[in-house]
Amino acid sequence: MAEASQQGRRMAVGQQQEQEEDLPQTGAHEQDQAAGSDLDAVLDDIETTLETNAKEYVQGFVQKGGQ
Amino acid sequence: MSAGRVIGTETEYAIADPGDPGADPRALALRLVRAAAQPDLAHIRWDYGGEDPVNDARGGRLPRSAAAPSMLTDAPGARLIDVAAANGARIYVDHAHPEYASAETVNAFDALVQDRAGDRMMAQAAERAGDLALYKNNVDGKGAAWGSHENYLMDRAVPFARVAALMTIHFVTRQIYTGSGRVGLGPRSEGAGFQLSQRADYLTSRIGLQTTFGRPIINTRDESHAGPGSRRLHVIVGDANRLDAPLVLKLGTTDLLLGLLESEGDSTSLVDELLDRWMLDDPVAALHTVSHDVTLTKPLALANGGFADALAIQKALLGAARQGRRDADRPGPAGDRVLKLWDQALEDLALVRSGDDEARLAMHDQAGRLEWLLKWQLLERLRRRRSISDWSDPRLAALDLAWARVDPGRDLPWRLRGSVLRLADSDQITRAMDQGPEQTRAWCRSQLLHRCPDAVRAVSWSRVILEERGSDGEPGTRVVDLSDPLGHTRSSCRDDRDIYCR
Repeated sequence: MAEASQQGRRMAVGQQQEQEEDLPQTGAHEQDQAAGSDLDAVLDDIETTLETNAKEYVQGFVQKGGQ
Repeated sequence: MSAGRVIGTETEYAIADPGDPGADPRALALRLVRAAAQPDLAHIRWDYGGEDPVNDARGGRLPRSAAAPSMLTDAPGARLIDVAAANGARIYVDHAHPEYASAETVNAFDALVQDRAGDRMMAQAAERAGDLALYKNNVDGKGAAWGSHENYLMDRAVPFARVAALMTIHFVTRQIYTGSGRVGLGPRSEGAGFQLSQRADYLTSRIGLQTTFGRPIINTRDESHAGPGSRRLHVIVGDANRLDAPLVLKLGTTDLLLGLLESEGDSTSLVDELLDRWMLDDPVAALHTVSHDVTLTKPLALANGGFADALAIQKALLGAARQGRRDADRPGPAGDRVLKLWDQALEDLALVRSGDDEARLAMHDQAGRLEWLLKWQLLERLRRRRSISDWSDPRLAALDLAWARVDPGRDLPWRLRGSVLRLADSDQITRAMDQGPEQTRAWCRSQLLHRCPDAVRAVSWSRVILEERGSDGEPGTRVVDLSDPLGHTRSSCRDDRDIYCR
């Protein structure tokens, strides 16, 4: 059940992505959602990646100093 | 400055090749910047004639022999590659980072548009360079930091010591609404935890000319790229911002306070009062304290023996900026909007301060304006879902890093666009990727690059060098003098095609 709803959200994110940048400007209130549901949707989408390779990803991010 | 203050940003990005994790970042940066060059502009040189990296705003010059090699940015070979962008910006490799230095604008909102245009241009270049991963942040958590600089043109008549004194107070305390949040404490993330700012732990001195080591809160590089009456304040203390509100506030509040310094009469006493009351006893320690204090309550020691927290000091700065504009009768829509946003931010922070973790997690609108709060909400939600108790867990650092990834149409800030305050119009950003801002000399620079790219030999902020044939058919050189940043604008050039190309 939780799995199914996660899948659903993931698909919704995917569909939004295809519309890319042509979307009209939205203000802070236009898509007012239940507190945190937008954040949860984002986490649903990237959580699996974070679970599998977070350590490697973070360790591999090595930069040289700049200004 | 009725036409507005000339403002621009410089962003150093981080870069990685997902297909080759060990790749040399310098080589990757070079690849990206090469890919950013428009083919018809690729022959154009950057003209270093106007650079002067050893001139010190406190007076005097650092002998070149005494300067660290990394400071001599005008030395032959110091820059691997420079690209003049069609929109009047400059794209180059700075040390090991691809950098976008935006064209000059006249207010914080226009500067935001240019900055966002830069993100999209650099992301496109990263893709063209072979699907490189581009990040807009300031730290790797392993000791390295890179910059997101701000530039403000101001009246040279204001004594620099006064500028440094007021700006130190502001830069230390503005972090509470400009911070983009960071997982890890200390330059090498020696400590586990979350802090408000990316940059704070890498700032270790009060004032200085250097930018790559012992980084100072006040940078004294004095190189105006403009006439002798002007000074460019080069600010290196700030964070890279993915949200619009913190970036506009970072630029807009600093602009208003510089305006206060420039005003005469009653404003002089307003500044005197701010300095008397809020000068910090140890600004470097205070910078770290503010960044590490998610409770927003820690008192900072003041030079006069008292104590105050960052929010109280920011309220005083806002009050003085508001009063100064009233006294100077200096209305302006951009300044008024900044004052409103500033006021809103301090209200938001008062609410955040009063709330426990549960209450903070539910602050939807506030998180759309405070980047560190939004990032903290994401991290805290992940912590709860996965029962992560230790802030050194790599999943948290990975999420911090994912937030910085610039990938238009896919990245995390884009996915949360419906929940955050957006202050730049998408069409404006698209236009700004090609056309220079109309209210500064960047308009002319951009027009020259569009109208006669073949004739342009070299470009700098303050001039363009054209190659052209004289009436006798002999090749010659013409220098278009752009030393006035508020000259050669769209309105002043409208019917005068002659100043462009023959």
